[in-house]
Amino acid sequence: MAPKRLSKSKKIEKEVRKLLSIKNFKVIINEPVPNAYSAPFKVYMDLTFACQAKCPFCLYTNTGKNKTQSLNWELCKKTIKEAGKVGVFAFKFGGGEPLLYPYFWQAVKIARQNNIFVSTSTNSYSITNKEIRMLKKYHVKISVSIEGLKKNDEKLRGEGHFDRAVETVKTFKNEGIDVRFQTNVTSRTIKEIPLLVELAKKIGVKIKLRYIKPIGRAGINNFSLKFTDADRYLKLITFLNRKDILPWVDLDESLMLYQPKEISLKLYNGIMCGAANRTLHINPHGEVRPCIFLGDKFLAGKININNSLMDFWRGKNSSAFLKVRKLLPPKECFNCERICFNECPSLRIIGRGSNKKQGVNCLKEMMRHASPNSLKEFRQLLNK
Amino acid sequence: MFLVRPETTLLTNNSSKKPLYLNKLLIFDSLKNKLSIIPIKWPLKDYQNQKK
Repeated sequence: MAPKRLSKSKKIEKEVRKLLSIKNFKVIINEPVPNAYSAPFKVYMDLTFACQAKCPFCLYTNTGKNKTQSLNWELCKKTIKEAGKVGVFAFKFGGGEPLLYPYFWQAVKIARQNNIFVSTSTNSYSITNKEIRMLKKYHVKISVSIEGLKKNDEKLRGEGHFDRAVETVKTFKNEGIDVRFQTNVTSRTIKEIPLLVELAKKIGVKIKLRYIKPIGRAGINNFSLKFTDADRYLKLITFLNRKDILPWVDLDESLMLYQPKEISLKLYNGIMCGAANRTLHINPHGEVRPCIFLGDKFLAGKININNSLMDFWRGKNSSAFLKVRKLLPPKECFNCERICFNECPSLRIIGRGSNKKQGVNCLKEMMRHASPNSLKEFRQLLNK
Repeated sequence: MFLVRPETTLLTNNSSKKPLYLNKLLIFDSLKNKLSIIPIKWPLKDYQNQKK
């Protein structure tokens, strides 16, 4: 009797099993997609606009106490299950305040049942013993938002926030939860960031630093870094890249002075920006974009019961994704030794009004705007 | 549980205008949130046929 013919995916799976020494694994094979991985690595899913705070730098304009718009639960559930089938590795649940989403823990449970890692963020107002128990149960990684020191943070995030955030981080750490602070690098808080990093170090947790993008209230209220911040920016980079500080910070690649080459392995064609090649974003309306920070010009459509996540990634709703895959940075980036290539189109397109102009996250552009003294000091450091 | 995704990636916007084929194995530890990427030279026949 002739041996039974194996299907294409079975053949590939057989080859993979020969290559790997690990045992407990599931092989997922998707059709290749031009200029992108075959499915997202990570889906950013903002679950609700509801939030106890109304931060002036929020990426949305419509978040706040009386905002109840949340992602339809049936669509949320369907999307997570589908993501599991195509091998999406991780979901980042955001908001608003994600913990105010009525189905938050059900969403986490379904993700974990589908072998999807979950991370989330919190303003720390919603934390009870239940949250602590559930974060531990599902191995959820969580970041606690904070903006500058007490005075500045409470001016931006509300009275009483700073102490609450610090206590939340301490509690999570003591409970063994994977926790870190998260802060935005903004024009108004840049001076205080070193002190915030020292605070995180003292507590024994990392702090994640991200550039604020000029959309939502952050755009309206002009929170982004500016070229006039160049001197302070170079000082910050110098501080963040100190050997004693690096273990305590989680940096955007362009904030890294010495970028580890191993990062480049995950990149698609050397492109640092993950939008449309590694990541996808869904907002509480169910709107899908390659990246929320690219704004409405790159809106791909809405999830509904008749379409699928992969329709946006590679199918009938993928036009915005195809458009992003064609975005390339200014010419000088092609000859630059740094590996932040094409990071970040939003800071160029929305921040500078043109994809051909460098964004404020370009170290070399910031160096061009720095004062001679500041630049001299910075260059001396580079030469060491 | 580990998730393994073999990737045969297609590039169409490289300067030579020719599609370029790279192979990677993505191995993700879904409990520890750890992604390992193994570049492999692995001309999978099925995918090779697909590109023709």
